[in-house]
Amino acid sequence: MNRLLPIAALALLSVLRPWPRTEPPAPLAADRALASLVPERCLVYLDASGLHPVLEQGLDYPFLRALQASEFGGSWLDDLPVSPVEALVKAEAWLGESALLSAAEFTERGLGLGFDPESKKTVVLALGRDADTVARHLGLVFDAIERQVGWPGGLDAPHERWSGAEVWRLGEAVIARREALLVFGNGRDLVAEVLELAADPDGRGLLDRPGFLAHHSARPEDTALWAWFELSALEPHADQGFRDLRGSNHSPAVQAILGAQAGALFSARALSAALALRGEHGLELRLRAHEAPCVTALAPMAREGAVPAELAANGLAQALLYRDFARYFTLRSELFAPESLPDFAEAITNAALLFEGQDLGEEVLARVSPWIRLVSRELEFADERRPEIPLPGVAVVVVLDDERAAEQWTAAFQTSVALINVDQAQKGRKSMRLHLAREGAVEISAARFSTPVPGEGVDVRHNLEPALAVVGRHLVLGTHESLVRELVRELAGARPGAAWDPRETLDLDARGWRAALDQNLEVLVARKMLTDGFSRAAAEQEIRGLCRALAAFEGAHVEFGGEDRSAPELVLELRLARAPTEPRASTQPHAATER
Amino acid sequence: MTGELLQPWRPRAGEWDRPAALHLYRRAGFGARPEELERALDEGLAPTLARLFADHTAPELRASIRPLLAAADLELLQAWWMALILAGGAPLRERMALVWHDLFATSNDKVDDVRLMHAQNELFRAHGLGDFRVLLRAVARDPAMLVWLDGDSNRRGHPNENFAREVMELFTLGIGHYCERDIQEAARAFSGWGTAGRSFVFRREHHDEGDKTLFGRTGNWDGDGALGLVLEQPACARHVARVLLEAFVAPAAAEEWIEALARVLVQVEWHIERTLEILLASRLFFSPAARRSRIAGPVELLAVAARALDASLVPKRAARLAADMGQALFRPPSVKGWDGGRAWIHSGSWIARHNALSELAAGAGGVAELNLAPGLAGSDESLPARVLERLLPEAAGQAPQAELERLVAAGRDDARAAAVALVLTSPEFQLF
Repeated sequence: MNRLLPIAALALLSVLRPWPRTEPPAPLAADRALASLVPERCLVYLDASGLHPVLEQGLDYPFLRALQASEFGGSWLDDLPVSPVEALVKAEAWLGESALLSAAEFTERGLGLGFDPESKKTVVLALGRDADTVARHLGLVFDAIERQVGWPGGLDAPHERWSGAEVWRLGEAVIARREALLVFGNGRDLVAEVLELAADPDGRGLLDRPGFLAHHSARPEDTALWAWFELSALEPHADQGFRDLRGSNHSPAVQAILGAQAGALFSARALSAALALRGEHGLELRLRAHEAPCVTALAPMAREGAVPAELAANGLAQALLYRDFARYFTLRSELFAPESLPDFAEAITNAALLFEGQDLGEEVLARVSPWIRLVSRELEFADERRPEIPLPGVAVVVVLDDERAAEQWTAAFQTSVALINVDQAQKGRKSMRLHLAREGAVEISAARFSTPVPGEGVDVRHNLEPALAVVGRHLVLGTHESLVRELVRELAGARPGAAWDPRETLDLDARGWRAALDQNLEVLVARKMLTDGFSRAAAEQEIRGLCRALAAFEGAHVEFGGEDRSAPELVLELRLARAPTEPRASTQPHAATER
Repeated sequence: MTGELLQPWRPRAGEWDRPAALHLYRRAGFGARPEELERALDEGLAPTLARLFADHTAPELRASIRPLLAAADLELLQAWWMALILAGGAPLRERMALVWHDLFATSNDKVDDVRLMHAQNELFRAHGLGDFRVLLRAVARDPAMLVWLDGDSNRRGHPNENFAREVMELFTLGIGHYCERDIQEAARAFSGWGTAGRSFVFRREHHDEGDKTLFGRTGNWDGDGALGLVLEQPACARHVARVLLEAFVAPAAAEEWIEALARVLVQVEWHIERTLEILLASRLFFSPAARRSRIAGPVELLAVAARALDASLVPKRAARLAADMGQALFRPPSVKGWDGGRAWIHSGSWIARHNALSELAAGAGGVAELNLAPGLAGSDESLPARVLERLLPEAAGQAPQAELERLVAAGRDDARAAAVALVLTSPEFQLF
């Protein structure tokens, strides 16, 4: 009897204790953000919800239609082993209904992807029209898989249930459905976390990441693809190149080439990217940094300065950049690593030779506006000096505080040519002849190598005919006299503007670059053969492919900057080339930002 | 005896074997691809020799440097010549161009003009297998040579002896076959020979029109006259014969070989191709004294290894590897060219050799394509024999084979690449 007592007590307890009830999880809220279902450990997130219109219209989507009609799109389609139309027909035959329609309904309310670099696992989430539609399409997909692998009925019932979701496992892949939410991943734990977040009405997932929500909400309405990268958290998982890139913000070279704003972009804590398709021919990529360590002393408008006057938009490229080289020198010990300082000291010493002993940072560059206009145009060469490898010319235009500095800059230019000649002579090489020319009332100092002997070839060095001129307060320094002449004509009578916008801009004319490539096609093919070991046919194919890719675009406009220096933005607008039969809107690159 | 040495080699049964065919390909060209070697074994010596003399260079490859000359990039010129060598379209022509580049050594370090270096290289290709006398006269007028040896500063009253000295000491006679006075007088004969732009020019106003006494003969010799007198010296044919013997037969040529070949050279009117037809088919060329008696130079080493492995090397990378090993094309270290022989191998260059050959064996870096199949596919116990047959048939049964067998027995995953690397970096493979 005594032995039965504990058993009886346990039986009583079991009756008195309530049975655990499996409450059905709360349904997914209709307005639940897809990112709130992605675990925080995903450091890369891609939101493709905006692709829904593309999936609905398929190849008839205006942008894709225009792309197919372009020379690049046509040749690209020709190179594909299966055309997109054939692929869609095959997919439809496999699935038993339109694959695009199916994909559109699967993803009607959202499509996202999360990547966890720690586990190297990926999860894809799709929010469909409603539970029934998703279940029906999933059933069709499973039927097709069963037919293909010869496993009839194998996927009819879910293999497991997690957090109220039906789960199927196919090798390493996991597919789960909960109402209209479909989750697909290659990591069991990651998929399980998604489902737990879906079961928790208060789950916030990536929305808890600092800055995520603000960036996601601020994306343009017509964004097709949006991505988020937690750069600082990704750093331990990335290669050395990525770490170097992130650490380069305080490199003088990066600051000189990219500037304070673009240089800070990749050093940011996080970065968002939004891609939008604009009509038939427009494509916009918007990169925005979060908590970017911008070097504010070098950022636009950190110092007063005039902006060089507008120039004709008829070149290969034109940029308006902010580079405060004066502060590079005056603040060098605060801004840059100690190992770079000897180079600055050498530059200052050398510059003193050119500028009458003046200090480069404090006395010379401090009297030049930090706003720089950079221009690249194709050049016209005299027949006897036309290089066999013609390169585009480049010129910079800056504004001097005082036009009386013109003589000092002219003297510095002439002295530097003389010094180069001494150095060349010591090495037994050709020297340059210095001469003065006039364009209207403006004097141009220019130098060039002696005219090549007819029949003996014109080397690449003849692309260099450096020239300098001062037009009012505008200082023009170019790689070629003819380009400087052009700019002198354009700047005659023009006045520098006042800076009011911190954005820097860059415009590129893709067709001009293609023409420049075409001009040097033989050179590029031969170089490819020798430097990469390609056959002529393979080298030609690659270079022509590059030309065709360039031909796909009319041009590009880039803007970088913004009011918030910790969140600089880079906006790239690409204009797709129109098919030959389409009317052209404009043959000019994007006009520079008006100031 | 000497005549017999240059008599045609008539191999007895089994003598025209894989090592013999490979010996010919390594010396007269830059090695053989597997199918070339098989064909040589099938067809015999004469047809194989004829193929080595032929020129089937793809015109597109030959012309690929033209649009790039304006870039004035020496690395591209080096890559281009390396590409011609690796392609193997004209094995003997390219081999002779390299021999002449070493003899008439001219460096872009001083010339500083890629177009001139290219023109000189084409000169070696155009005249390299022809009449040596024509070649010598062309070299004497070559603008790269004139810049290299200061032709422009050789003027009446102020002779510059550089070119005259090297013509006698290095190019044609050798020390002991001329006197200081001959150099001084020859320099006067060459005065006025210079460059205008990238062309040869004779500046009469700078030429010394006075009488000069050269090799005991007095006259108003000009440059061509001086070269004629040099070519008449018996030492000249012997010097050229020595150059050919050291390039094709053995590094220390015996006097009797030199005498015999010099006689042939004069008999065939200084025609290099006809001389080589005799030399490369001779008993001397195939004798034990000649076989594997030279330490391979970097360019030939890379080319031979790549061809044996049926690998495609990226030309620019190959040229760089050769430079790392001590042979930068168009940049010989001095007017004497490369010292060659044992000087190819010292502690620094050996590491570079080891690295380059290991890179090649691994199919990495500069290798565009490494096609080891079918001969070297798989890593079973027959691998050592197959690797040796492909790369070093002369060493079958010797030290490398035992090492290879140990390596394969260890069951390494990368046994094939390791086996190839082991053979390529072995001391035996450095001997051609």
